[in-house]
Amino acid sequence: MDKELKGIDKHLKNLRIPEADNKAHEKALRSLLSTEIERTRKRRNIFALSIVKYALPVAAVLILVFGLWFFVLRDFLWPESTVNIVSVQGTVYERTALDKENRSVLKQGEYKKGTVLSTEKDNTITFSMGKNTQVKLLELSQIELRTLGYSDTVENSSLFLSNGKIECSVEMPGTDSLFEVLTDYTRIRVYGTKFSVQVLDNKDVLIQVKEGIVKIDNFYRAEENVASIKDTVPTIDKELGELLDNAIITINKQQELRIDYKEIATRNTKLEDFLDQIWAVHLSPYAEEGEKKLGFRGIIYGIKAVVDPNEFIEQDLRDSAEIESEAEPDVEQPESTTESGAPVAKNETSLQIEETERKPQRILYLPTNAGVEQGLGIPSGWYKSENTNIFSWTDEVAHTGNKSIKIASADKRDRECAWAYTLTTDLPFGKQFTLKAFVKTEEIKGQGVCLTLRADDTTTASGKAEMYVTTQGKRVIKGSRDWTEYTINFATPLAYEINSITIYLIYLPNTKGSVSFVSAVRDLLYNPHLT
Amino acid sequence: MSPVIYEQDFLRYYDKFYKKIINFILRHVFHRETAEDITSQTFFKALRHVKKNSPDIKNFNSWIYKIATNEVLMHHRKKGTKNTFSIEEEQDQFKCILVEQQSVAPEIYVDFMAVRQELKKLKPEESLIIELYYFEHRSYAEIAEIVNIKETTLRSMLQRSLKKLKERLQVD
Repeated sequence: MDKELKGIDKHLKNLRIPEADNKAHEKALRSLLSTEIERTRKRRNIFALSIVKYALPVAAVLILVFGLWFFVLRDFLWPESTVNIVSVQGTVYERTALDKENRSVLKQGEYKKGTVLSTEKDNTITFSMGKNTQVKLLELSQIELRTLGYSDTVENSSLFLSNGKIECSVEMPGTDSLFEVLTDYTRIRVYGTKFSVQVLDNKDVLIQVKEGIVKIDNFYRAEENVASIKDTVPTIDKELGELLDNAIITINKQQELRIDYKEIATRNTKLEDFLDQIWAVHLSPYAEEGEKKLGFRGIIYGIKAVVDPNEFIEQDLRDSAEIESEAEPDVEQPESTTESGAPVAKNETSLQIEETERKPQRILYLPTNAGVEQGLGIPSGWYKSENTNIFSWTDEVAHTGNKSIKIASADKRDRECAWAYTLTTDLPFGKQFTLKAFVKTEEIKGQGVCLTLRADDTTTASGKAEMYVTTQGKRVIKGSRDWTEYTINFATPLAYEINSITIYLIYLPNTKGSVSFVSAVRDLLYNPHLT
Repeated sequence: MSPVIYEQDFLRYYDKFYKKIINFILRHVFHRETAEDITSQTFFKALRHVKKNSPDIKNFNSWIYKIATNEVLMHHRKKGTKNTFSIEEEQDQFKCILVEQQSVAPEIYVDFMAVRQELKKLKPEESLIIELYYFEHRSYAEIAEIVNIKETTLRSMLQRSLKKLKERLQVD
């Protein structure tokens, strides 16, 4: 404290301070505060009591109702789906998750999901599921009822076959329904068919389709594969596609796929459709030695990843180049008065046949891709007369869709070349075959380009053509023109002995410039299902 | 550190602090009914706060003075002046309160009344810190917490206020 303030400090400290004593107000205020505290306490008690009085009974009632529904009414109103035993031959065992040991299956009975049924040698069991589905478990087999759910409009069933064989006859009530059989490596989804699934001793899976369509996925088991392979797999489960009537498919642990079709020669269209849907499968054009039937072995890139896809493409190109170079030497036209590389002379037929017999699949399995939209490096089904860089499959220009095929040469060439496409299935016998195509030219000089159609009694364009038509000499295609539609057709209806029709976009000799081509989309080309 | 105040303990604290608080307010406003009103508001406000935030109250002593101080300042702000009562009215009030007590003669508080008259002329904040220090015998730390300023600021503020008071009282 400052010296000058010491006086006032002392004066204030020595002051006599009055103190009042207001008992009446103190008592009244205390009473008010006490009342307020009491009121608050009562309010809290009332809240707590109301919870006990109302909320707890309500909760108890809700629990009771839910319990009643869950344990009693649910089974009554929506009974759990079961399978019904139709017939039992010999001794068949059943076991649920709660059972420690197998029990013999009764002659009649119902089994819920989670039940495992197993058969011994020479014994079988047949049971029905849903409305019209029957499953027969053959000898030495074991199956688990994974999912069972049926209603009037939807059925969902899932069976796990750990070993042995089952035969199924499936009829589903609607498109939302699903019947599936799982094995260690495979899932077979069915939409109404008759088929069988067998797990072999080595865990390969054999699926035989007797009628209808089944869809197959393969499973990938990471723990059974090396890390390097795992790294290359973006997605482990992939749909393999659909199997149609009379197909037999084998999938082994190495994820290799083998498909056998009976009556392959007459059913190859469907086979092509099926193969077209297979995800990233390389279809080797070579059947294995000793395989009498036409068969395939596919290796799934993503899983096996042993070969770069481009290598396959290059291999394909080399194959096709060999075929085409022999099939189409730059020759003169046998029938036509004009020059074109398409047909070949009759005396070269034997050579070509030999070559074709060695590699028949190259032509047989062309998918329908006239619109040149599908493919991997090269439009599926299309091939080139030579493997040079004047050919391209590009999305720089397109008419219908996103792609077109192109031939572009800066310098005049001394020989012709062509893009080609061979159609071998669903040929319109007895009818007019018409090709509609769109062509775009840029500074095409010289002889120009032409469109050609030929029909052969063989499955490849070889030898003397049975039917032939070209724009060459009739309509000049050169200069610079935007997309222009061209239509050509055979003069007569397609003869019944015809086995293939080949379309050519021919880049004639002494020509330079760029030509782009899109044949009419598939339906316009010819679709027998629409006519 | 005082224990945390819970609602059920509030009346115990009320009994302990009522007299201090009403005297503090009374010495400042010098009007019995006004002092009773402000005291009631102070304790009701304290009770409401205890209901909501009882764990936050660490020191009830300083805290109740803080509420009382705020209420007094708010009273002044509402009035718009420091004190609307005249000297004569205040002295009458003072005598009334002392007569009710029936134990003390008003004459012995002549010096206090003189100081009180001069305090009225200071700013409310200045008179409050002098009252808290000399009449309520609060420490610097407590006053700093009550009026929510730093202790060093409080010391210099107190000195300035004393200087002003000294000049007015002409005390050596």
